[in-house]
Amino acid sequence: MSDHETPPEPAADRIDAGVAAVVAELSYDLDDAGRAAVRERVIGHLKLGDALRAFPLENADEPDFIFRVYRAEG
Amino acid sequence: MTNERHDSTVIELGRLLRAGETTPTELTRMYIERLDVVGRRYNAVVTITEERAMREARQAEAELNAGFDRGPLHGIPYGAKDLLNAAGYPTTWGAIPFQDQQFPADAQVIERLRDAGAVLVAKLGMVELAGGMGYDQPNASLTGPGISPRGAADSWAGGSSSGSGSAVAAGVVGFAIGSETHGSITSPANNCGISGLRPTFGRVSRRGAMALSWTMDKLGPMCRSAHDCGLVLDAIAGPDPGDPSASQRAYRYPASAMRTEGFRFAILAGCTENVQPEVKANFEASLAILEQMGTLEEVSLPDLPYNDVARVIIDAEKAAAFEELMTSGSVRGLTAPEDRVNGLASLAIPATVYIRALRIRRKLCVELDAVFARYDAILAPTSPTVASPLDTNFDDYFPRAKRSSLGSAANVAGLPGIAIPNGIGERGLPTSIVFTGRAWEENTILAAAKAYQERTWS
Repeated sequence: MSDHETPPEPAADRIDAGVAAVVAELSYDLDDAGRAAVRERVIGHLKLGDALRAFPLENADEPDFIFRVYRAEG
Repeated sequence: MTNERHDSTVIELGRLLRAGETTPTELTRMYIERLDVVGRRYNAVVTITEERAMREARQAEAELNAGFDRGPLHGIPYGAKDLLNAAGYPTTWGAIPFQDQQFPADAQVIERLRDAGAVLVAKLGMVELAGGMGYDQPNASLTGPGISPRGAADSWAGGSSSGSGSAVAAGVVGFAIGSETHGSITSPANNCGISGLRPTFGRVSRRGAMALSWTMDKLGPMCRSAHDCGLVLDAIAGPDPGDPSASQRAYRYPASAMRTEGFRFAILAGCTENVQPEVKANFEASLAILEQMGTLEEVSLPDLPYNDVARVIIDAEKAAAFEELMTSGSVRGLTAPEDRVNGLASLAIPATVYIRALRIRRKLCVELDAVFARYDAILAPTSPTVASPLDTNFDDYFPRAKRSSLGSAANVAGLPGIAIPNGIGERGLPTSIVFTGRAWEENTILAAAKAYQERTWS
């Protein structure tokens, strides 16, 4: 999916789960406005995830990790 | 030497020093005074590092007097975006929750500039946490909204390297260091009418710099000319075992014998659709100049999800970098109301989505390299607009959805770009053109930008 195509609206249970996951991480309560902002952004992230899932990949397509093996000199 | 030389380039300041028309201490005192009086007017200053600056200036003066010349930056005062550690001073990250934090050692870039003889005069204002929390209007910093010194009315300096941009434009430093994850050097370069270089990812060590996105953050020079950007990059670039992402490639800026013609330029297709009329007119005027320097043809980027990949990578890495800030509630101390909540959803991005973005990223890099290999630079307006008014949300001034994908593509792939001013637009504010190059081709885009400036500056 290119930058110009918009995935469909995610299902409500996925949105609710995403919001719940965020709220569970916080050590404080969000007010209604905060929850609404989180909800809006969760929807955005779900759409991003769906857009990226539509991009075809094969098992051999590796991610670019920074990780390199380490061995002390000497 | 009087104040009138405050907006000289590094080269010009160096000439004045070596001709005995000024000294490092005189220059430093001038810039310290200007930082305090003029710099603060633009919310560009967090901390003036006066004691350190005078010490470094005296050392530079003694060395130059003794005939020991460290090179073009010797004795030149500069400012550092306040995400770069400088021992003995706060490094605030532009954010109230971190306004008192200090680190015991200098960032690698600061060390290298010290070795080059440059004089650190100030830590410069920035958007809080380099904009990572999703700010959507200019008032998003503990020092207040960055203000561009250009134009007739209060306009945003751009971000997140707001203070670096306005400090260079206002002539309160000889040059500055900024950073870019996604637009944070080129945006203030555009809004403040200066030259800003985003190097290839890995060209400059990020040891001792705040991390927003470990795989997308780049540190780079912000100066009054492309040539100055090359001189500064020469000092700060190079391998560093202390930064695992820093490349082993050595870097040298060939100050002389740089190409001035014979360039292969490409114009990004559609890049003047959805831009302000003056942005388009000035870009087309720039093309007329660049046509004298080489060939021009139109090119399209492969139709790939650059923006989506960039957003997932930045948001996921940002969530890891600032997890404690967000989960503890300290995020509620940030300046911009939207920054207190907009970043929270990133805490729930699945690892599978992030890793998928990294897998797609490699494919983007390969396809983009095939395009960039054909050209010395791909050209586009740096921004579709001039600086927005301080009292206006960004999307209300110009919807982000209408912007071209070049910025996302270049930052996802870690490609270098230099933004330089190319005229005046709406409200008397500068417009800018960006030269984006292939990985590791800083010298090619610097040569093109330098040659363009030599042709267009009287």
